[in-house]
Amino acid sequence: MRLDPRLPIARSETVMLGGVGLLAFLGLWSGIAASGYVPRSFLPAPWEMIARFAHLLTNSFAGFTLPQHLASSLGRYGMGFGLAIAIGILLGLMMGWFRWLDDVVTPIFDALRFIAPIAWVPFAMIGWWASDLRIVRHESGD
Amino acid sequence: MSRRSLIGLATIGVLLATWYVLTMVTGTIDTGRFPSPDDVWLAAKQVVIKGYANGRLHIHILHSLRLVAMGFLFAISLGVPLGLLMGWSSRAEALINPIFLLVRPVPPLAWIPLAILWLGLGDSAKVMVIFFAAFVPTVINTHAGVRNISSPIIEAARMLGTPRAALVLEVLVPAALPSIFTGLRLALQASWTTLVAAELVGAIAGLGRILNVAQQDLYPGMILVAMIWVAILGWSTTRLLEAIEERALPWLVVRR
Repeated sequence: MRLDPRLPIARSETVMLGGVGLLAFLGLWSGIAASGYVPRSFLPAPWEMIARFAHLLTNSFAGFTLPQHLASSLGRYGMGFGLAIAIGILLGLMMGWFRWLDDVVTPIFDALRFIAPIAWVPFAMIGWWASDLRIVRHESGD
Repeated sequence: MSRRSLIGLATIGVLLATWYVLTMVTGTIDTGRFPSPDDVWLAAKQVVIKGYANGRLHIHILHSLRLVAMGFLFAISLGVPLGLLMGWSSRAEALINPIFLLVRPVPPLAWIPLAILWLGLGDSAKVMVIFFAAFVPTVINTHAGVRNISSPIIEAARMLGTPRAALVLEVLVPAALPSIFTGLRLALQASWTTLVAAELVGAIAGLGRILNVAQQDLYPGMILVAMIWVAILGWSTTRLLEAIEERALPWLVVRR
């Protein structure tokens, strides 16, 4: 296989090579899982994963079925993301319009920017705000 | 001093003063939830001199720095060559991209349970998670960097009969470097975020360990000290990367 510099290849070849890559990946995964070299509880085979997925659609795990867990995660995600963009866009617009606001807010951001969002979690956990609002708080951080 | 930095200093000053007044004078903020400047000072003194959560501050810092360095370096030493290869060869891209697309959307933190299952609660699990966090942005930006080199540059180099090795080292890599560094900066940020999360789950030492123990002890002063140190380390490693970037790209005077 020659590695020509950025020469475009035919669409059919792209699809073919992509299929080969995916098959090789799945084959390797299945092979390792089926060989028994790694315990099943450490590495399930792809088909076991699919079966488990189908099972979780209707049967509950950790109290809820998979769609219920997804709905709950999506709800939190939506709240945090929605709050962040609602405030962020408004603040950004105003910072662009009023220079003094930019001058005031930017240093605060520069100070907060390097705190990894996750590092806010302990504060959220010791009960800064109630229930789901805590999670919203950390998702909207910087 | 410019107007801008004066306003900046004034803002930070006003914020600190407000913090002092609200926590220590009027008591509007409950110091059980958010620490006063005094609490933070005492916590900082405690962790530096006596130690907290299994060690003194420098032990925790060195531990966290080492994990980030290992995960980050491991990720870029694999990610940059892979990105270069994928950008360079359409065949390699077609072969690898679908697999990469499977890995890419997985948030790095979602690897934590699997990493712990595979590698236990030790350092290698954390390095693995940091690796995934740093690997994805490195590959994406290196790939894009090569893809976006304008074709006439490569065609000219080829027309002049540039040997393959020189084509890679003297044309491809330098032209892709700005984008590669963008990837590295994102990767570094992701590494720190991921490190804190991985250490929060369980660690013997490290800043995440301080955060975790301080949370259980309901010790807001110590939480803030650990957060400040996460920020200091994130900032200084980013500055280090920017210094390397300025040396590596002397022809690009980019002010961000």
